[in-house]
Amino acid sequence: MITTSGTESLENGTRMTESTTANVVTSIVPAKLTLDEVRARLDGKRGKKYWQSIDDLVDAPGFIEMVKEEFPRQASEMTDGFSRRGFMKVMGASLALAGVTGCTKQPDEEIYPYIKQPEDLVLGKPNFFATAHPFPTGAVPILVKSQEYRPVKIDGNPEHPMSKGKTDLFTQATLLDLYDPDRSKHVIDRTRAQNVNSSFEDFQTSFLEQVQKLPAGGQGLVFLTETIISPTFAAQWKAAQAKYPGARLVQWEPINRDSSRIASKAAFGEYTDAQYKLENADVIVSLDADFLASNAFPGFLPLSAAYAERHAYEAGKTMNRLYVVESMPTVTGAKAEHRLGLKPSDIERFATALANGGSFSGDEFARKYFAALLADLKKSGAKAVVIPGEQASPAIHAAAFALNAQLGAVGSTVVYTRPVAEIPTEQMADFRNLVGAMKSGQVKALVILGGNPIYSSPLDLGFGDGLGAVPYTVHMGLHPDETGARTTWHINQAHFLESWGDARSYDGSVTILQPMIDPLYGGVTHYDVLQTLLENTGVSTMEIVQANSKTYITGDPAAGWRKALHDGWVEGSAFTAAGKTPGKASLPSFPASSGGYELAFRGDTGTYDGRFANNGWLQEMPRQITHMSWDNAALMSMNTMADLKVNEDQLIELEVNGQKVNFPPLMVPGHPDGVITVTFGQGRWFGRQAQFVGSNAYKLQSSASPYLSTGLKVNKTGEKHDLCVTSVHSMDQRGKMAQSDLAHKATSGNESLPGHEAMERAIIRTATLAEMQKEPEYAHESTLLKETPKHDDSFFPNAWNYTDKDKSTNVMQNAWGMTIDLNSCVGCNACVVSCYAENNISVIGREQVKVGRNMQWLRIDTYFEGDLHAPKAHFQPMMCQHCENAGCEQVCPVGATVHTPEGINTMVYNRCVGTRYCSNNCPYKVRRFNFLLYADYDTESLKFMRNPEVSVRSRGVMEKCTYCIQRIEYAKIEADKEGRAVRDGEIITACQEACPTSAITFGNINDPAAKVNKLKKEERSYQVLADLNYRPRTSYIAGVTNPNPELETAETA
Amino acid sequence: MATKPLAHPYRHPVNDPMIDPRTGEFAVIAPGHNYTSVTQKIANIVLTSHTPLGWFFGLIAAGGVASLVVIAVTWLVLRGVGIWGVTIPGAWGFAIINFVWWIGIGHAGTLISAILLLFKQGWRNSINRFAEAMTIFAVVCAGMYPVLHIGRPWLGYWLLPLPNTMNIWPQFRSPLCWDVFAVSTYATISVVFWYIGMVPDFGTLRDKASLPFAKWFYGLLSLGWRGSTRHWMRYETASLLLAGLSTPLVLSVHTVISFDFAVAALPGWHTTVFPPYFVAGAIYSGFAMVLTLAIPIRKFYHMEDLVTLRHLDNMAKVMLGTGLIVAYGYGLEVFMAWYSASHWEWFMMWNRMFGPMGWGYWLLILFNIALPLGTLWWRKLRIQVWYLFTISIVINIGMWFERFVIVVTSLYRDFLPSSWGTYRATKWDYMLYIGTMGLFTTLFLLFVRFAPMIPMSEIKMMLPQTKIDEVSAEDTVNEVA
Repeated sequence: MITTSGTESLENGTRMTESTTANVVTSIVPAKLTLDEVRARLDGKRGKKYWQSIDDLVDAPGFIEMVKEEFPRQASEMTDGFSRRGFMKVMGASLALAGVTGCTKQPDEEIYPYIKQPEDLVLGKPNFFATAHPFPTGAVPILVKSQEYRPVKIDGNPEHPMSKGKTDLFTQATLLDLYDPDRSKHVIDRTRAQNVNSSFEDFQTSFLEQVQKLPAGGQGLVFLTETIISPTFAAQWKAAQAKYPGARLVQWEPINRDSSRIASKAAFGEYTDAQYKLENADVIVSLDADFLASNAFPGFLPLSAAYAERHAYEAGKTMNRLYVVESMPTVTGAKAEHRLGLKPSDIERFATALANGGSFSGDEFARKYFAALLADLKKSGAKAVVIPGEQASPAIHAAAFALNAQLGAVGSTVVYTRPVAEIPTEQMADFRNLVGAMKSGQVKALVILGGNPIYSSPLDLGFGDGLGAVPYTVHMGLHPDETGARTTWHINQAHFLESWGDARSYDGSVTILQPMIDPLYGGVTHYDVLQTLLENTGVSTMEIVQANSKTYITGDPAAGWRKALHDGWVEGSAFTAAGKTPGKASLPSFPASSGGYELAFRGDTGTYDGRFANNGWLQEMPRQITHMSWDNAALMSMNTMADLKVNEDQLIELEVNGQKVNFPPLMVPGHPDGVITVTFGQGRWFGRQAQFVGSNAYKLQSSASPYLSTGLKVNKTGEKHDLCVTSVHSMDQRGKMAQSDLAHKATSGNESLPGHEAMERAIIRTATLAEMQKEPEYAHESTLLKETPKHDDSFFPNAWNYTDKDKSTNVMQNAWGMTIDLNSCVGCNACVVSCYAENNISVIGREQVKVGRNMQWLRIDTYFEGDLHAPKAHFQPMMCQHCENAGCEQVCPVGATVHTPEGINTMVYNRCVGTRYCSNNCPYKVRRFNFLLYADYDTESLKFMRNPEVSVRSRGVMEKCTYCIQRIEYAKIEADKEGRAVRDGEIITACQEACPTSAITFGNINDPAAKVNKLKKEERSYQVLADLNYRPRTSYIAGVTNPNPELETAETA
Repeated sequence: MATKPLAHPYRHPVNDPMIDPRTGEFAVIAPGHNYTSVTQKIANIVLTSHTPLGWFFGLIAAGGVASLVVIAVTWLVLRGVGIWGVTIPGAWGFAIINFVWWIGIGHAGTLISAILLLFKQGWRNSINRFAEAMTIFAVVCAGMYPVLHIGRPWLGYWLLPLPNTMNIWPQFRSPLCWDVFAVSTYATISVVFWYIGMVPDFGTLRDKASLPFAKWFYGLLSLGWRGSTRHWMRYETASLLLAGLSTPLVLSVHTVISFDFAVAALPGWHTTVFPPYFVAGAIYSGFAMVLTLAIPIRKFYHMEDLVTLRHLDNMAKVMLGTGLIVAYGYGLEVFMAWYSASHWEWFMMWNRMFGPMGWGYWLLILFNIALPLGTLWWRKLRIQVWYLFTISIVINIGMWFERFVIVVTSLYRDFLPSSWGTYRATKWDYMLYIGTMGLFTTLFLLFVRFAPMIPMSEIKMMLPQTKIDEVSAEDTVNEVA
């Protein structure tokens, strides 16, 4: 895929080989510029700041091409050890600096004080504002931390009844989207001969002219939007429809809820959403539903929180039991007590058989599994729930409706409500019709509000051709992306943190979106575009939203509006259960297998459908289960890999219906045989982070069966590809193992060296409920390896025990500590992204990650246990353990890492010279080193994003988790001001704040009443690598599972 | 030097040219030399106006390779250590391996000049000068690495205890801090010892030189040496004192360097056997390097009569002895891994031998133990010049692998399997390493051309001319008694 040669052109640099791509690219690159012309353009722009001018130019025709010729392949420059450009740059800089060493003058910067300081602004003190992250599955209510009115951190709105202050990884990462330097900065007008940077006012004039030309009623005018969850936009559309009855609205997203829509329409007669009440469920059955991963699954936040709460062990409480029948291994499957890996088509058979109470024909384990699950469901009745996956077929949804009805779960563990989407539709069907109409010339004007169909639509529809046949096309988006480059108008959209709006959450409650900052590039919203159509442009977006809010705010509108803005949601706007019971219906199922391999499509756990592909945090984040970063792959089982006779370092060609795309194969433990999974969201050809990464799976997708294709052919290419996987431990052996005979034997867990070692070293400690009741001390079985030596066993018995008292107040000092509940942790990575934002962690790029230099302070270690074909997985968030006896501190020759009296292991960045000895002596390997200059000091927009309370680390400096010391100090200062001790729960670390399942607890271990102290005293609390006598301050709470005794014996037998 | 007659002088065939017929001692210099011939032979190499063409070729080649250092270091300082293969978990790589390797090589020089002097091993006189030079040049190469390998080399001086207004000192518990003291002391003493030893020879060169510049130059270096008895007395005293000072250094430097590893809690590093085994390994590799240098030089400058087979044989014996200590160290590591009953140790040893980088361990065993120790028992091989040359290079490679195995295979798979990684050196790693070899060779070539590579004064003390007087004097004393 990504070739390393520095002179590849844009098209050849990616894995995309089809000529369509080349056409796209060449068609957006008009006449060439020369350097002289660039200078001439710059000369004319004296009025603006330099960096803005350059940005202006980037949009100018030919600029990109000029840069490409002048500086070939600058995109992956960091990756090349010795690029000419980088060399000249640093050489030039060092020459320039040669004369001024020793007396460096800081560059002149102008600082303007407030003439009139805003009333609520204290410089250095953050403000918090409530708004919501609109996402197609439902908005996530958030509280945005704002420093001098710059949003610097997104966290959940703690008062919201649905999310309770939790967020998912996408919501966390949208902060970087706001400051993305590749964002669209202008309205672009391509109606004239030359591309011109235009204004929204010009667009409005042009658009209205165009509408006037249309036949009466706006025949031929089509709006293509993403899923609408905004009541105001829906109301606006209603008004627009009244004015232009001929205009049409098509909602379409590549990852949509069509299966659920089709099934609910058939079952209820109208579109219906299911809301699951997992707090009431003893038995949860997931049919390919990955509801513990991210907001990609509707209701992720309440579902995961309720799951974790019921999964916590407490004497006298019934623990829930999770069954997952799935294809691609997910974190949900990993958390399951019993996971069954089946092909998507088999899952459908399984679901139908379950609903019909019949039997399931499969291998021995699958049959046993089916019988045990059926028995367990019958036993649990209304305390059980069946959750179908959004990418499962409508038939599976129908089976789930039927099952939940049979169990009597409706009203107990599941309620049916009206959909979160304001105007629910079957998106793929609508979209197919639209493309047909476009091709046949019925569409005269197409307005694309958000979305990127040129990139993300199934290739068989030919949306690109359709777009060419529409005379007047408009694209509004955050980026001048693949679609935005091909429309006659491109409008720069305002980010949701820059704009007014409203959106519904999973529970139906409405949150009013308020801007945190003036639009950085003066963008507008989809409300503004519709307002243009309504010829009502004098009204601001806020007024539109406020006017419409009367429909859901009860009582005094003005007071209600203020309260809604303050609280972050509108009270009483949540849906109530509809009290409907589903009927039975026969529904479309997956296409019948025609032999060969099946190809399943999933959203990426990092880039989703590709909208986050330019987000460095999400690109770099090791994906759940696979630990892949900056890549996507053909995910398959080891048997499949052995059958195909391929290795993980090769590139294979997947061929479906004549479409061919290259992917590297990657073995995923637990993946079913006979099916290959690919993820969307990579292979884009726009964006400094997104382009050159991975392959575009949309090219293989068929519109008829979007999430499963049959008749897949796999061809070898003979090319090599170096996958970027952060847990490289098994990479060196795994591919070979697949090729050896081992693959076809029953492989025991001992074959997996890391998994075996993790068990041997007691890094992961877990027991079943029965085992635990038999031996409550299972996390501390008496082997020496597992326990911290007593203070007296040490050569240095008088270690400081952090119980000094302040002489004046006689109050014991603080001693910070953390616990992480492995029973609750679902491995969703929200904490990892939150840590990125809070601590200004650098994004380092694919090549650096590949050699193992990833900078995440916090990582989710995943250990597989048992059979390589059907393993169990355990997650363990791992960050600096703040050892009391820290090895890193003793070996640092300059004292750059030292202990605070409160027991925090701190890094003094400006003292660090970078010997890296501390990392060598750290058994947890949680220290991260700036091997090169990773921090981006040049990109202006990213400077606004940084947390001003945390240093930006330069080259040659070690860094690591600080327990969010800036938050600790903030709380201590507040407490000091009020003359009191820091209260328990007052300090919330960034990871803790994000964690949807509240697995992380932080506090003062010297405070006997602190929650962290209670957790540390629990029988199940243990320290990782305790026997080294490093005395870590972070401890883990061993997992407990609640397996079905029948299946337990079946598995071990 | 041993002057006592052997108890049974007739045990040796009297017609052996290598045995002094008067004393029964093994002669270490070929017969036929007198004061004049020794001076002529050694001083000529320096003072000749006909520098051999081969020297120029050598200097150009070595200088070319040394220029790689300049490129590699420039780019390193501009970009950062990320151009190397170091990563997490393998945060130390070639830089530390090569640092230890070069420092180890230096040890032979100090051992020869100090310990062998104290033990009155007369044969050392022929080789001590260039062994000392080798030490200094090896320390130059080694000393570069610790500074370059840190993330911010320009702040390397923070490891020195310099008084400052912030009152910040180095962290004295860190072995890296001890390193700074150990290596800098070592470098200083070695340079002083080397220079003091050369003073009488510089006097000779000054007297023999015909060019005015050479006269001035060597005159300056000879510090007014006149060869008076008082000078000689003070010279001998100074040598003895410096030898006394350097002797603990031979043991301490590599001991301290072994602490870099032994103090850490990492399995494979955390072991008490390291100090003696590092010192033995250092001497092992140092003698190998002396042989690697001595064999071509004695051939090139026709010095077979001054650096004789007897020298080579003796050095091979030292290698055999230290090699056995090293082998014992390896054996003890394996034994302790088992005997400690520690999972960490046992896994580390298993992984070192049979893990993905197991080849490194077995190359080490082959090059350091199997090949040299299996063969050096035979005197026939020990005086086989080509064989010794080959085996000395084999040992140098083996000792490099020893450091590779210690640094890399301990680091890349440590405690948490989740953070296991791998290590792959980059072209910049290799460039700097090869460059330092070029630098070393360049410095050495300059040394053999411009300084007396064999100490004339000390060789003269071993000549029969000197001995006759001594023996006859002793005879007289015995007779009187």
